[in-house]
Amino acid sequence: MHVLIVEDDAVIADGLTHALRRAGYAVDACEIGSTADHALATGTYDLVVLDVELPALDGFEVLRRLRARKSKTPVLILTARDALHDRVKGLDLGADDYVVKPFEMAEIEARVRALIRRSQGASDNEIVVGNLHVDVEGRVANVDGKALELLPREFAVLEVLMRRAGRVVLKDALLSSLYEWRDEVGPNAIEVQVHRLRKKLAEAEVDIRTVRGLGYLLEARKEAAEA
Amino acid sequence: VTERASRPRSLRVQLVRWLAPPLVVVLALSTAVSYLVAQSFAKSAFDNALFDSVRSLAQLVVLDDGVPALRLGPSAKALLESDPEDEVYYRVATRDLTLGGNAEFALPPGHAGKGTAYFDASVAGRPVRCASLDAVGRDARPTATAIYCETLNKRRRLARELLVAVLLPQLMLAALGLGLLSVGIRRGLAPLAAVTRAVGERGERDLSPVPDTDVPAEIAPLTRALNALLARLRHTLDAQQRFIADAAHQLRTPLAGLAAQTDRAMHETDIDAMQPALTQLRASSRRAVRLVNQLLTLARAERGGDPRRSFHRLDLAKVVQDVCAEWVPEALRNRVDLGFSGPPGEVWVEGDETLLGEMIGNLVDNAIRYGRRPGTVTVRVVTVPQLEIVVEDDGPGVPEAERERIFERFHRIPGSAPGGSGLGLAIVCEIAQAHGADVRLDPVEGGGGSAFRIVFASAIRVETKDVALVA
Repeated sequence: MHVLIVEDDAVIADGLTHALRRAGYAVDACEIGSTADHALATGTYDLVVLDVELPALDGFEVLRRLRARKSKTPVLILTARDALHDRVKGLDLGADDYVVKPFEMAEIEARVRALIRRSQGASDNEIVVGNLHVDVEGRVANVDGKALELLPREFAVLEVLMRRAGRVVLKDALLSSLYEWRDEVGPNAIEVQVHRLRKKLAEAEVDIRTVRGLGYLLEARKEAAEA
Repeated sequence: VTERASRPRSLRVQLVRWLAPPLVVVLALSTAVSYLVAQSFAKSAFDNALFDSVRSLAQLVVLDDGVPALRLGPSAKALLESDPEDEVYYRVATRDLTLGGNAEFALPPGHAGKGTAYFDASVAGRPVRCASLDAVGRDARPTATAIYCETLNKRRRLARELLVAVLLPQLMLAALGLGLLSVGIRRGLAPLAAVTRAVGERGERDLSPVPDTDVPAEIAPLTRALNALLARLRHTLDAQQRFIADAAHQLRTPLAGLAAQTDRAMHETDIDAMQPALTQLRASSRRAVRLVNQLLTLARAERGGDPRRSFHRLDLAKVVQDVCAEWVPEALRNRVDLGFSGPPGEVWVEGDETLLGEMIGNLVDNAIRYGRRPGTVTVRVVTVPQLEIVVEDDGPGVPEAERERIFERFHRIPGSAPGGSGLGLAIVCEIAQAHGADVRLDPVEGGGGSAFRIVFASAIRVETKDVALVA
């Protein structure tokens, strides 16, 4: 995976370069907009991390020219400008993501991973939390390779929770994700499903937490023990 | 169109425009009336003189053996015809015979025998004023009719003179009035010009009051309002300067930490020995980041002008619920049970979603940061009796003495957990105010903990599903 970092602040560029190299990417870095434009026109990259405020040619213009060449290379805009119209402009010009400085390096790494995965057309077929594996396409789940016997509704609830692991899934969102069964499923039915799921997940190192008034949150049990 | 509408209009021109039409009408009327009155006096005076002449003419009629004859000698003729300005025409005639005269003209029809009369006629194409008189014999029977006419020269001259005499002073009076008006306005507005000059000449930092002594009563409200605005500006500017100084001071701390820990790390050669310094470095930089983000939020919340520009209709319950959901992972990391309770339906209000989210986030952040661990934080949206957002924790609560001060910028309760910027509650206040809401802090009943309440003005219309069902 070849990543181009276009950032004129040496400290940030250095931090990004090191972090992404450590994550296993080949990284080129340049500080000047026109150089970046040239590099993108001649080389092939799997992802561009692009600052907006650049000497010679600003990031929006680099992006515009890149898209004008019909390139589909994912672009992550990185800028201190967080006004809504700047975000909108960046995304309208064809940026795939937008991160405002200051940022946490872990967040950049996660977003770079997601962008590359998406651009490679890799589906998020398998979701893993702890020792729980869910194959979304095959509609099967297993714990340490041992298949779980889940009813379709239970699987649907688990899938939604897994996709948003570590974050709250609002009860309404869970309900609407079970749209096909909505006629049969009242709000209490969700609780019934979760209750059954918890039982079946006894062996898995995950917890489904009930969040008062909001919904549910699935997380790795190890994480909870750590905190 | 706007340019036309915004063009400044001169007070003087406006007043003159207002005054000129009625002035012209009054002037015309008074001139007409005085002219007519003067002319009628003059007419009767001239007519009297005309009568004297016709009487003298009539007296020259004698009866010669019962036959009327005009005895007009040269001296009498000269006397009759002597008029410095007007042509004089006269004629004496019986019913069928002209006795004498210097012109041929007829009496108006139906006039004969009526004695003394005045009438207008024309001789040789010129308009004349005539008087007629019947000469009478001894038996008081009319013998002949004398007619005496004169052209209108002196009458016209008098009319002209009268007109000038009446009109001239009136015109002078009007001109004087308008002139005085103009001068009066200029003099009356002179203090305003002085104020304008004073304001125009001052520098952008000079916010002292504009001198408002000697200002006429009509302008005093303007200078008073101007001074009130200047006072408010002064207040705001002072507060802003204090804020910038405070902010810079606050930023120094994490930056100094960064510098110190960087030095420390650079002096270590062993990677493991570097770790504590690096951990501190990260903590300091996170603090700086958080502080800067909070400062930006605050600047955005109190940005000049009307924050309502970005307001739109939103479901407050949904906004609060979403923010809570976002904060759950952070709460779990801190072993805090974060929960939400709201009304069954939507709660529609006018607001800015980002700012409201920031406000609730700050309260939840505070509750997690300064509450009990493990502990419970509950966020509630209440619609009865009025719309409120309540963020309740079961922590140690805020000491009585601090309850006012915690809303001040950069104020932090002595001995409280580190990492806060001291700006969170100031941000909450700004955003609440922009939404017409009050921030209150109450201790939680029956135990420790605090409840921060965002109380919306009762004027805010709350539409929940319940209400819709009832209606």
